[in-house]
This record gives sequence, structure tokens and C-alpha cells, in this order.
Amino acid sequence: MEESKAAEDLAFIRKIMDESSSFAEAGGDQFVVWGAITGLGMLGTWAIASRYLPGNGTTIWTLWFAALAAGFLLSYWRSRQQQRRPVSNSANRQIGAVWFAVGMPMLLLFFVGQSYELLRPQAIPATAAALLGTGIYLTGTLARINWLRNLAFVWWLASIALMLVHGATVFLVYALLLFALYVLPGIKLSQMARRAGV
Amino acid sequence: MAEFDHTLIDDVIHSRLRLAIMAVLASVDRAEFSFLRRQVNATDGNLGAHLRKLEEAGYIRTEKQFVDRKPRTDCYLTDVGRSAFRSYVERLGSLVQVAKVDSANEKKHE
Repeated sequence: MEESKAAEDLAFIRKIMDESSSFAEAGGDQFVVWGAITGLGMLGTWAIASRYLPGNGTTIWTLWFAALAAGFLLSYWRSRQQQRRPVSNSANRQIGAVWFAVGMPMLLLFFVGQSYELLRPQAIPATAAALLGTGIYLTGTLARINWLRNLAFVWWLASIALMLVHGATVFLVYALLLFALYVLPGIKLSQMARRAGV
Repeated sequence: MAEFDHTLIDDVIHSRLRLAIMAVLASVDRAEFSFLRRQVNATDGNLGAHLRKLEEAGYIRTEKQFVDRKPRTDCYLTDVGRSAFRSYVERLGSLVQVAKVDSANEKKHE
């Protein structure tokens, strides 16, 4: 066995292990599901708060409970599908952990914060945008998708912009941002995953 | 020349495709046949034959099942396989190290 071949084999092993361990699905369909659900919830909140639709605070709470229940059901169905993914590796587990870690503070802040009136409803979109930016940045880094990682900076800028929007309009702006910067990238990620045979 | 015992190189792993399969499986928890095929750039028949050889050696195990009425084969590295792969990589590393020492000695004598 030649020494040069041994060095070449070692380089080959390193390359293939690196590619396989970092092969990750960015979870485009989860982006679509949660982006569409929260986007529609925000549109409903805006419409009720602006009196375009009848309702009050209880209606908005009911709307969000229904939206989140639908989101969790769809996510559960998707997680069962993911058990059938072609590969189970650390990158995919880490991405799952990132979104769990992003989702939990969102739920805590919005439900507990709202229940005890510790957080103004108008502050929700800016806070959520900042957390989404964090999740997107980490997902883009782990999945090695540069445009996705860079999208995080747009979300963080959007978070600042949302702090400057007053009244119920902030819900409308956030809903539009969700469709443009979360659902559409999710569709793109799903297409990429399908092309890669995931 | 420094000592290197080539008989210690594992013949089961010492094939480019089987080495690639082992490397993929060593870096994931589980890989489906189609994922492996894409990663190692092999045909179905070729990959199947090499998987059988690795399975006979006890280095990998496969699970066959039907998902949505389609056959699916999941591949896993066994503990024996992981240990064999680690030893193989260590021996490759020691060979490279031996070559470096020889090269340094030759330069000294020049």
C-alpha cells in the first residue's frame, strides 16, 4: 500500500464524513406551515383589532388557540413523516433543537406574557421577528445555506422596523413579512429538498 | 525504513466503495439506501453487493421495510463495524506518519 494513497484515502474519508454528517434538511415545509398559520393569525388579529372583522379580545384568543392547535397537529404529522427521512444525523437533530429552543420562548412570552399583561400585544411581532431571525440564522449555518443565514439579518432589521410601527398596523406588517420572508423561503427550501431527493 | 505491517489493513473495508459506505455510516445514525447511493455515487446493484459483503462481516446491519407500499432499506453501522473503521483509519494515519518520518530521515541523510 502506497503512502500517498493512504493520505489520499484519509482525505477522501474526511470529505465524505463531513458531507454526510452535515447533510441537513432545513425543514422548508415547517416554515410554510408555521409561517402560513401565524401569518393568517396575525391577519385575523389585525382585522379584528382594526374593526374590519367583528370580535373582541376573546375572539383573538380563540383564533390563536385554534391556529396553534392546527400548527401543532400539522407539525406532529410532519415529525412522523420525518422519521422516514433518508438520513438521521447530528445536523438534523440540531436543527430540530434550534426550533424547539426558539418556539418555547415564543410560547412563554406570548401566552404567559399576554395572560398577565406583561407584554404589550404590539410588542409581539418585533419580539417574534428577532427570535425568528435567530432560528433562521442557526438553521442556515447548520444546513450550510448561505442565503438562508443572510435572511436572518433581514429579520433582525425587520424586528427594529416593527418596533417603530404603531397600532394594529404592526400585525398586518408582520403578517406580510411572514408570507414574504418565511413562507416563500420555506417553499424554496422544500423545492431544494425535493431536488436533493430528501 | 520505519515499520508498517500492511497485513493489519482490513481487507473488507479496503475497497474504495466499501470505505465510502463505512465513512458515510460512521458519520450518521442511520442512512437509507438511496441516500447512501447518492453519497457514494454507486449503482443500485453495485451498492447492494458491497452492502452484503459488509453485512456478512458484521460491520453493518440493514433493516428492510415497506413505507407507503414502497420498499425501503435502512443501513446502520454496528459496534464491530465502528471499531473496525476506527482501526482502519488509525492504520492509514500511522502509514502516513511512517511516510513522513522516512521522508524526514532521508532529508537528514542528504
